[in-house]
Amino acid sequence: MAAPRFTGPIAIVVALAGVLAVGAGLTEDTGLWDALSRESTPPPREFPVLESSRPIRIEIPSIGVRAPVHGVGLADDGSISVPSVHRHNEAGWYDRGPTPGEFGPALIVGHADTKDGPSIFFSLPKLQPGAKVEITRRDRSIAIFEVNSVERFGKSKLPADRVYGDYTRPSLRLITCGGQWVGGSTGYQDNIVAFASLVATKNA
Amino acid sequence: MGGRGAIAAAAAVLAVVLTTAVPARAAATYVELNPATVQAGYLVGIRASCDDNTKPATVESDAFGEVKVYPQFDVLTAAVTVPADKDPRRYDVRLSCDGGQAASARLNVLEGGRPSEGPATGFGGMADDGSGGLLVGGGMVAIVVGALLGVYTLRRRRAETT
Repeated sequence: MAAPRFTGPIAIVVALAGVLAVGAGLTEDTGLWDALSRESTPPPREFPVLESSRPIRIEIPSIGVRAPVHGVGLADDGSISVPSVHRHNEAGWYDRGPTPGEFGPALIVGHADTKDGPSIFFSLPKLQPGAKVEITRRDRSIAIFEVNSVERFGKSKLPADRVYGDYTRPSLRLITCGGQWVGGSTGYQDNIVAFASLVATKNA
Repeated sequence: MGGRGAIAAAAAVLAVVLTTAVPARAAATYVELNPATVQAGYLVGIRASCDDNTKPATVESDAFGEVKVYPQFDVLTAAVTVPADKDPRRYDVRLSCDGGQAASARLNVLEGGRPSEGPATGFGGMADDGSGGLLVGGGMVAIVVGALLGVYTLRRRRAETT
């Protein structure tokens, strides 16, 4: 073994590295890291409002999402139902809620992954506040939303008022899965929610 | 005659200035809803304007029946709750002014209630390999190794000094 004058400092360094690793591991597993690094951009005071029209397409240039959108309803357990596995590269718009552009939160869900690879909303956690989301609607208008924040919640701890209940202006909620995989009927433990607000409109 | 024409012209100009510069006289008849999309069971704000906004007017719709809008800050306002059992669809909203003017708007009523929990949006193929768990495990091992090394060092030092 090395001389004791070397082993002393080595012991301290190894133990400190261990403490750091344990700390990093715990913050990652508990989502503390996400909470600490969370940013948000408040929506502008003025906003446009559109008539009701169903969404047909979603584009998020900053994370490379370009996909068709179809309507989805409620699943048996009362959660929003999701696109079936063979349409995993499409997004699902909750058709009992507002359409994107009218007052209230338009809810669009998308899979994070399939059994063997990434799916449409896999990169949603990387979406930055300020990024633009463009929704093409059946009336050929395009609703342009700006991301305010991207947050992670336990599936049963979703803040329902913030996600589903804000009818003060036209907004958009992009929802996918994240966190630990627990399988069973739960799948992933958490939901990733991107909060966005309507800032502009244009014609396709 | 020229003098009279000039006076008439001046009066006309004055009239134009007066009517355009005084905003108390409402320019248009309208009715607006905020929010224009609402879940059944929730409150809707109504903002309306008639030629004379000092007198109440009536707003009527199949979505909430008939309500009176009252003067407030140069416009006519009211708040009304859409009953929770209203069918989800678009409803016409009509304003009838005291002076006979009318305007209309549309209210989109949605089904009440909300999704209960978060959707199941993934099949697990890209699930985290548990790098967090790996870090915790590795860190524990490093702490133990460090402690053992420390104990060994102290013992050797003590042995050397004695």
